[in-house]
Amino acid sequence: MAVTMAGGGAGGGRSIGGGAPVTAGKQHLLEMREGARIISQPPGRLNTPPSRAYYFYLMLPAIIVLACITLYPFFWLVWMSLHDVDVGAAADKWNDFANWIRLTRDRKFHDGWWLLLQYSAMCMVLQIGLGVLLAVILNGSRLEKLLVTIFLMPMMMAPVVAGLVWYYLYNSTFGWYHWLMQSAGILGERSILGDPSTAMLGIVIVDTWQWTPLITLIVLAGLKRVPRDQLEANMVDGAGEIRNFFQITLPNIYPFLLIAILLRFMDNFRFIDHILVLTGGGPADSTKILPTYLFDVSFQFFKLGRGAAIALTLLAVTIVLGLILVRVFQSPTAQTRPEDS
Amino acid sequence: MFYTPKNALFRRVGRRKFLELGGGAATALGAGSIAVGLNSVVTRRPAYAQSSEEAKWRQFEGTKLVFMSENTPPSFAIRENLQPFYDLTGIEVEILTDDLPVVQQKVGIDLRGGSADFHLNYVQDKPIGSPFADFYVDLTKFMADDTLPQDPDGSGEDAWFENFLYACGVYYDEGRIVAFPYDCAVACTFYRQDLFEQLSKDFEAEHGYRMEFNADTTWQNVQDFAAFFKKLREGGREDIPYGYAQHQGSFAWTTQLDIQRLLFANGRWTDFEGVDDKLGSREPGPTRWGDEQSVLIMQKFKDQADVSHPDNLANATLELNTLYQAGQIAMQVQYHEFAASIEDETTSRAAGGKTGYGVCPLGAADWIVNGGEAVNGCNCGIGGIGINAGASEELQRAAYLFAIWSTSKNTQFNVLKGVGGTPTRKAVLEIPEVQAARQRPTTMPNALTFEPVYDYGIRDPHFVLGPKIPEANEYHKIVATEVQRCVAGQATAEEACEEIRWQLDDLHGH
Amino acid sequence: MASSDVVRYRSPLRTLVNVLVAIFLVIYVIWTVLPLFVMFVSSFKDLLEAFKLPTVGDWSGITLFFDFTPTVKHYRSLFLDHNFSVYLFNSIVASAGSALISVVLGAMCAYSLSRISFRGKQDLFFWIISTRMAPVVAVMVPLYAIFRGAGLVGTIPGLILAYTTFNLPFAIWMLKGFFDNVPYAIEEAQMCDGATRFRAFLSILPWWRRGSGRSSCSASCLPGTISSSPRSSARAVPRPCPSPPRSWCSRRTSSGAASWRPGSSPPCR
Repeated sequence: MAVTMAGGGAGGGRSIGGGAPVTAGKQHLLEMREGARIISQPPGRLNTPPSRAYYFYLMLPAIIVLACITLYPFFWLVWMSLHDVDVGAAADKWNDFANWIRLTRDRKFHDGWWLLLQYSAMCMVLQIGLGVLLAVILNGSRLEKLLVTIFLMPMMMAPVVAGLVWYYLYNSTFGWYHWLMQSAGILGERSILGDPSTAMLGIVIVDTWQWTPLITLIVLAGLKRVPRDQLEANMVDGAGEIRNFFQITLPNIYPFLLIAILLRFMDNFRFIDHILVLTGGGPADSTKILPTYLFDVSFQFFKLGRGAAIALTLLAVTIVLGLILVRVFQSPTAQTRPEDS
Repeated sequence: MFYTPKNALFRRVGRRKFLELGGGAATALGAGSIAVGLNSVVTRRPAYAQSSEEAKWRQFEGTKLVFMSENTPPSFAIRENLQPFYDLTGIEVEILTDDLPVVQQKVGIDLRGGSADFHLNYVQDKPIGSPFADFYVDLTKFMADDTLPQDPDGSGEDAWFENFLYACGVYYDEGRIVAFPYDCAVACTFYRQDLFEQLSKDFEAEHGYRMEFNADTTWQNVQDFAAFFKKLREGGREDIPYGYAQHQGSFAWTTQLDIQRLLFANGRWTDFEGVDDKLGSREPGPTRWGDEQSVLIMQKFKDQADVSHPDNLANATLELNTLYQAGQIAMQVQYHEFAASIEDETTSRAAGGKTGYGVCPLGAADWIVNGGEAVNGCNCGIGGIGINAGASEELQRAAYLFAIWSTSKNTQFNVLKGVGGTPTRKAVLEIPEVQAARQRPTTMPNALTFEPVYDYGIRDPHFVLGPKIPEANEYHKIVATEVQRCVAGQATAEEACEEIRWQLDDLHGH
Repeated sequence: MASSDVVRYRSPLRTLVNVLVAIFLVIYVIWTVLPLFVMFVSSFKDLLEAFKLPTVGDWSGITLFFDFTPTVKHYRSLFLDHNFSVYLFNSIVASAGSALISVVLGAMCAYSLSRISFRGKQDLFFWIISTRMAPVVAVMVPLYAIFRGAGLVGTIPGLILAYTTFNLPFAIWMLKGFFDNVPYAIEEAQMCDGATRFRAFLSILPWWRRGSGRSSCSASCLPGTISSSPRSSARAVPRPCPSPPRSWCSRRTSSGAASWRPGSSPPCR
């Protein structure tokens, strides 16, 4: 049954789509013939072990879609970075790497990298620390399911919405968190986002609030795989729980942690929704991490050429970071399964 | 101008702001959010010079247009009330509104892409007009076209308030008009008259003159007022608000406008030598930033900020106004369209005759080192309505009908009555009802500001427009950032001005 | 499962740790939920009430937060004046469409990647992941141009395609882990029973539901949109696997566990 179904469908489609105009009768004949041909194929063919080509065909649609929406923009970016793509009606012209040369003396660009580094580092430390701690506490606890569900709630939100929620909380005129912090003597009248020295912290807090659960979730998955026999053996050897954690648990969840780090690192480079909502990069550019600056250059100043150059540096660094992390997975420290194909 | 000032909408400030911001960020980040339903149709029934007025209005019956506008009162009001236009012309207009930066992006992509998803654009003078002036239709050809209807009050320079047509319609080249003034936001001072009267005696005992606000009030006076309020508050008077605040928050343009007012008031300082501000320049030459005058003013601006509300760096236009509404500051520089929200008793603690409206402060004699004149430096954002040159000739002509209808006297008067608009036509002020509304009690709160704004601030020599340059947006950002750094104490006035000079000259290749 | 039920002894220190842990959890729950709670309560407040704050340092003023007359007018205006239901519907259609495409194309691609090896497979796989690394802002302009050219601007299919850009790589990445864990023997057996190779492929899909790939990773598809995986992430709590994959799992776990690398199987188990 399956044979005729698949064969008839594919065959009919091919003959009609490909051929020159044919009369109705001929068409009918053609279909018959095509159908017949397929049925006449040896019945075993479609359930013999698939050939390599079959797998490649299966792969193709996804690859094509991805190529269209990633490779083409990429080459476009490269082209733009080499031309004067600017406001005004003037034609885009080759500019002898002016966009790239400008980056070398663009202070906002340098600051942007530095701030991005600070921001990512702060987010990572806080989120990994909290996330792992939570996962270890939650693992196997009676309330695990309930608590994980609760902790996941912030993650369900779009980053923009999270930013708006916190904008409301931080506001110095009507924000309850601002009031709390002021009452506790932590903040003066300046709100956390209104002061260049604390604005970055404000952003990091929002990011941590939203994304720590992701780390928890990934690490929890890892903890489920920590072999119990190893833990017990180590305890027999006299290890306490803390030593157990560092000697057995941590090495076992190490690849999971790396995945978490990889994901968060990439996302820190990618998502700036909450920053745009909360500070727009200010005050005094204290939260103008590189993607935010890129946004300004491309969509506020409409210096698309310069923006493309910045985008490419960002892309390059992200990919290099990704590569490094992937290499780490493949390094001997991460144990590999010998029988793996 | 920047956000929604009208009463009805202002009541929802929290949510509105959220929605606007959400829209902005989503547009920026989710490629999908660029999505808007866009389609245009054009149908034409030819009209001739000798055709009747009605035939001229109806010649594009059945046409569909899209107007991309900022969230401003006229756009909301007109969108709610498009029926008269449809009845008059048979043209359907879809009005899309968004936050200024988002409008800028959408319009920018549309214009740069050479397409015309938005046939009509909101041409905010510097943020949109300066960079994209080349992409708009020269309206003079339609103004001289007698197969098109024309406004009975005319559309020439005299029909509008002083400087308005130049501000939003003329860029770089004389004789080419790309937009008609559609609405405007002019800076003026909102102050708590009740508090001023209550505290004037104490102030006089200390400073030797009365605490009043009028056209002769200088920036030095304002600083004294603010310092006085701050001292009272820090002396334990919890009921006394801070004295002053300006916009130094995340919206760069308003921050730049704030320091520009100060710079212009004190010696009519402008950014570029030999550039006519009203016309602008594609190649403005080296900047004056970093000279003695600018450094002095930067310092004064910081001194001012030091005695103002401490959370200034978080406040852009809307936040600042909220602060004032909440009774937490006694004086703010604000755009006159916000008067409607201040006078709204349901949201504002400064309503009901407590607020006075004054001009922008005068320059102080001893703050001027460049030998210039002291004026009441006053600036604005004039939003024009312009026609996308990427649209077909027919669509352009249909769009022209909407442009003149939406800026006509009657439309502006209706908006003013309805949600608190900001007229741009002189004729609107001559309507007796509007004349009457300029005194309390009033049904049109914005009219309370007309005296400092239309009768004074926007006239020469007080009026300053700021550099119209293609890089206007980057310029705003550069100036705003350094001002913020200076106010936050991260840079001295000299350093900040020098950094601005370096970056501006680098931007223009000097 | 693993470390938790290792024998523990009662001691004063243990009790102290337990108390601290409890306190930490309570604080963390509050920290997570409070912003949402404030938003929720505020949505029933009138504007002036939502903007009311007690004076600084007046801790008793915290009751002010609950001092309001509830109103549903914001919700009413949301649905009546603001076409909220239309937007909601658009979002659901776009997300669901994108999830569907991502999963279908992703499953086909991941399955193939998992079943054959060829030169450059690692590079191909890395390229697929790397498409997810691109900063969104960076590709906005070209993407817009492509969308314009295809007439997709302002349409739901355009939205679906845009979401797919971000979801598809992740779906592939995730699903590959799943297919790696399903032995080829199952398909072989199916084909011996007369199934076509495509049916064999379909036949292993149900394994996926049984949780072997019930991974944390699925959750991270979420940022901003709806997960490309058909499961809700709230349910994505790791669970033990059922029989056949389990034997396989346990073989792996006992053989030394930490074994993920891109070419093999991700730790989504």
